[in-house]
Amino acid sequence: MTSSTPDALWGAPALRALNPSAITCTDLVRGGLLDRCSLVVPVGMRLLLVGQPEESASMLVRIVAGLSRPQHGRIEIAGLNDSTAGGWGRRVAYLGPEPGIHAWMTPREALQLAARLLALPASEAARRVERALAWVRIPADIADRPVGPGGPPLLQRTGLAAALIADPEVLLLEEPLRALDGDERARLLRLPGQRRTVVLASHHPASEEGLVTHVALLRDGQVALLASLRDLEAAGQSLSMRGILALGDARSAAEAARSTERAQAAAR
Amino acid sequence: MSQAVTVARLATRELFMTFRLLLILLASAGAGAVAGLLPAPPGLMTLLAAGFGLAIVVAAAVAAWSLAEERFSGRIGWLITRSVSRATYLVGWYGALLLVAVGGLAAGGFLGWLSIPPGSVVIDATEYVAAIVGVAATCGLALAVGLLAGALLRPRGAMLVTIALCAIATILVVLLPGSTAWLPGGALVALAGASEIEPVVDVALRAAGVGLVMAAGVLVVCQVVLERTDL
Repeated sequence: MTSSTPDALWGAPALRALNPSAITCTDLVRGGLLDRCSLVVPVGMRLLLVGQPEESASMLVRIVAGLSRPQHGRIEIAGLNDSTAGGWGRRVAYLGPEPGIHAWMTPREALQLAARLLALPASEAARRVERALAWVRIPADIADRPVGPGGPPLLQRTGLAAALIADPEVLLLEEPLRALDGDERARLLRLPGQRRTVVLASHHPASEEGLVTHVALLRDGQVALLASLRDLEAAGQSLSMRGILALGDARSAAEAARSTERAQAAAR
Repeated sequence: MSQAVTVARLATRELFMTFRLLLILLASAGAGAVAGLLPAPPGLMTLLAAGFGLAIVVAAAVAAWSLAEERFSGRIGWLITRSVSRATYLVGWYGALLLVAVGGLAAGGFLGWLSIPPGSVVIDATEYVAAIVGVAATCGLALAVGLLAGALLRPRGAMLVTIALCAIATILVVLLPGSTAWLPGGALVALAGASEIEPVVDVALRAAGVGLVMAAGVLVVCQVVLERTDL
C-alpha cells in the first residue's frame, strides 16, 4: 500500500489523541454556494455532507477534489496545499455521479490506466487491479468487455474500483453509486481502513445510514453543524435532512442564547 | 511513461474509436489524393492548398468538439482526479491531435507531390517541403484555436466558432495578399501561388514561425481558461 501511515498506527490511541486533520478548508468562497466556508475533517472521519441549497455540499466536495475552483480560500490535505502528484494528488480519490470513463474501455483497461497514471510498478498495479475488481464484484468475463453496454451500474462499479486503485487516504464521494441497489451500494461503500477519511456529499442522508460516523450541514455557504451520529441520536433525531436541520437549529438557538447571556453578563 | 504521453495515447484511442481520427486523416490525405487523381489541372497547387485548408478546418473543428465533449462528459474530471494536471491534459490532447493531423498532412503532401507532373517548373522539392511545413504550423495554430473554443463553449458552439474563426482567417489572407507571411494561413497562399511568390521558402518558413508563435500564445490562453473551468 502507498499510504504513509499504516492502519495499525492510526489505530494507536496516542496518535488518535493528536486528532490530526485530513482535510482543512479555510474561508472558501464560491458563487452563492460557499461563503467563507471553513471545515476541518480529522483523519479517519466518515463525514456525511449535506447542504442548503443542496448543491453547496457537492460544490465543496468538487472543490476539494480539484474539479472546481474556489474564488477565495485555501485547502490543505494532510497538511499540504499542493494538489499536484508530488503533493496530495495521489493520496486523494474522487467518485462522482458520472464516473467519466470512456464507454469503449473495459473495466480492466480503466483500472490499468488509473494505475499507470499513479506510476505504480507493473506487479503492484496488476495486484491492485485484481483486488479492486474483486471488491466491486466485476467478474473476469465482464472485466474484459466495454463498460458502455453494461450501463450505469457497471460504469459506477468501475469508477469506484478506479478510485480505490490508489488506496486513497481521503476518499471524496459525491452522490456515488446511485445506479446500484441500496444493499449493494452500502456494501461497496463500507470501505475498510481506520486511517481512511471519507467525505460523502449526498442529497439523501437517510440512504447513507451505516456509511458515516459524522454529519456536517452547510447552510448559507457556511458549516452550520458538525456533529457525530451519536449527537444526532441523543437529540432524538434520525439521519435524515429533517433531523439534521432540527439539530442544526437547536445548536444555533443554544449558541444564540449563550451569546446573549455573555453579552448581558458583560453589560452588568 | 509520463502522464502527458499516457493522456496523448488515450486521446488518440478516443479519436480512433469515435472515427474522428479517420475523419482527420481522410481530410488531410484526401486533399493530396484528389489532386493526384485529377489529370494535372492548371490550378493544381491552388487546389492542393484549398484541400489542405479544408483539412485544417476539419481538424480544428474536431479539436473543438473533442475538448468540449470531454469537459461535459466528465472525462477530463476523471483524469484530473487521478493527479493529472490540466496543463498535462492539454499538452496530451494537443500532441495527439497534432500528430494525427500532421501525419495526415504529410501523407497528403506526399500524394500531392506525386501529382505534380515530372519536369514541372511550378515548384521544386525544397520549396514544396517548406510550404508543407508552413501548412503544418498553420494546422498547429488552428488546433490550438479549436481547443480554446472547446475549453470555453459547448461542443456544437465550439465547433461552429472554430469554423467561423478559420473562415475569417482565410478571408483575411485572401484579402491581404501583401501580408501573406505575417498572417496565419500564409503558407497556404505561398503553396497556392508557388509559381508567383518568390522566394517560397522564405515566405513559407516565416509563416510557419508566425503560426507556431501564435499557437503557443493561444495554448497559454487555453491553459489559463482550462485552469478556471469547472470540470
